[in-house]
Amino acid sequence: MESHGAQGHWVLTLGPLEIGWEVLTTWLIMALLGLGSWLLTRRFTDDPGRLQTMTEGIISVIEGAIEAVLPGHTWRVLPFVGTLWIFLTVANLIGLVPGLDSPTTEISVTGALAILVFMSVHWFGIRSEGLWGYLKHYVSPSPLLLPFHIIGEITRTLALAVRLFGNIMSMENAALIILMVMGFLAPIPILMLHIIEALVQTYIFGMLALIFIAGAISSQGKPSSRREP
Amino acid sequence: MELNWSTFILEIINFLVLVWILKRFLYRPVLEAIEARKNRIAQEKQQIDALKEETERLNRETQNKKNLWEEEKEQRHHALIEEIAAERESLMEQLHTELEQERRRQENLDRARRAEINRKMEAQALRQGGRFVSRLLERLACPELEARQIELLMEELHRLPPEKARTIQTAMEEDGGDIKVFSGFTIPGETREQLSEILQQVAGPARVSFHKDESLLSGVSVHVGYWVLEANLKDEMKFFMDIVDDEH
Repeated sequence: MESHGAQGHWVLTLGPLEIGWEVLTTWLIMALLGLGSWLLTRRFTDDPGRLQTMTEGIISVIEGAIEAVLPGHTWRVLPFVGTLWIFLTVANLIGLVPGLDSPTTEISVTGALAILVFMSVHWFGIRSEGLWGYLKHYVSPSPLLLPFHIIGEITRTLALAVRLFGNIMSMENAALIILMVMGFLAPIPILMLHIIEALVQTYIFGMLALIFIAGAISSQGKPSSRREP
Repeated sequence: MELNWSTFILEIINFLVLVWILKRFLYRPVLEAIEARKNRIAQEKQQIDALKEETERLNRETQNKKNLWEEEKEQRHHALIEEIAAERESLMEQLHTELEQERRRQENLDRARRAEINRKMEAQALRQGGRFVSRLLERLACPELEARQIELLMEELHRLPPEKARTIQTAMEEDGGDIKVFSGFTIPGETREQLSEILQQVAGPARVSFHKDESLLSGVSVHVGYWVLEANLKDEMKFFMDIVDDEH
């Protein structure tokens, strides 16, 4: 029932399912976020304290960012995009905790998130425009562009997954190499670099997902003004 | 870098579960709290706006009332000034009238005071003149003066009007026919005869007797019954003193 994975992590097997350290770490993150959210929000008052103010500030920032890109659809998109930002922030930074690795260093995790973004784009697009109205944009302005639209959907999803995986994995490997070469002379700058990189990749992933969704919702000849970085 | 399908599927499920958890326990409570606070702030702002509007309305009303009060105050101020001016004019006229009356009264008083002083001075002058004349006549009293007075008396008796003479005659008849002649000095015999003759001519036949009365100083006093004829200094001095007393 138990075995070692390729990288030396413990892996549980439940029938056909293999529960790797990534899933366990994700569950840990889910437990932390869920429990933290419940503890924070159950004591909300009209006179907010520091934690309530901070929580409301974070959610307000996310809401403001979504409202700026997709006005009028904030509440529809906020749970998905906000969860992406919150989860990726914690998942990217949890590697700083000794004994834990970031789940986003695994292509299976980032691929799953990218697939979710891919699916959510169609989900929100169909809910907003209807199935026929949404599918029409693949053949507009000309049916000749349909293959290119399909290729674009696949490549941007793949790029989304590989970008996050590659950056987080390479950053951790680079940090490990630097620590091995320079010992403990430069741990703090490397940790700072880790934090910045994690936050930047979180922002990029969430913002790209938001832009893709916004493009699907207002896809009929109204491409988003933002470009993929 | 290899794709683990179990991890891939579980991560999809995990993320969807996380979306539900956060939506249920984070986004909804936070957004509801923010919305509730926004609503409360909006209500408070609405109340504040209403209060502000009410305050502005009250301010406008207060300003209008203040303006009205200012106008009314200005009007009353003008009316009061005019009333004070009229009252002052009236009081000034009244004061001028009273001053004029007082001036006239003072002038009358001055005139009366001056008249009284003049009268007193005249009386004093008369008294002094009377005393002077009395002393002078006392010093001038002598038999020669008396003789001259008797001569004057006899001349007067000669010119006596008839009705006066009848009065003397009537008085003598009522008294019994006696004529008394008083003199300051002793009258000489010849003069006595002349005087008796003239008196009898005037009063009719009568007994004429002569008496000495030094209080007469000089001259004679003829008594015919109730009728008395004075021609002496005492009577003259009495005349002057009576004048002084009458002046008082």
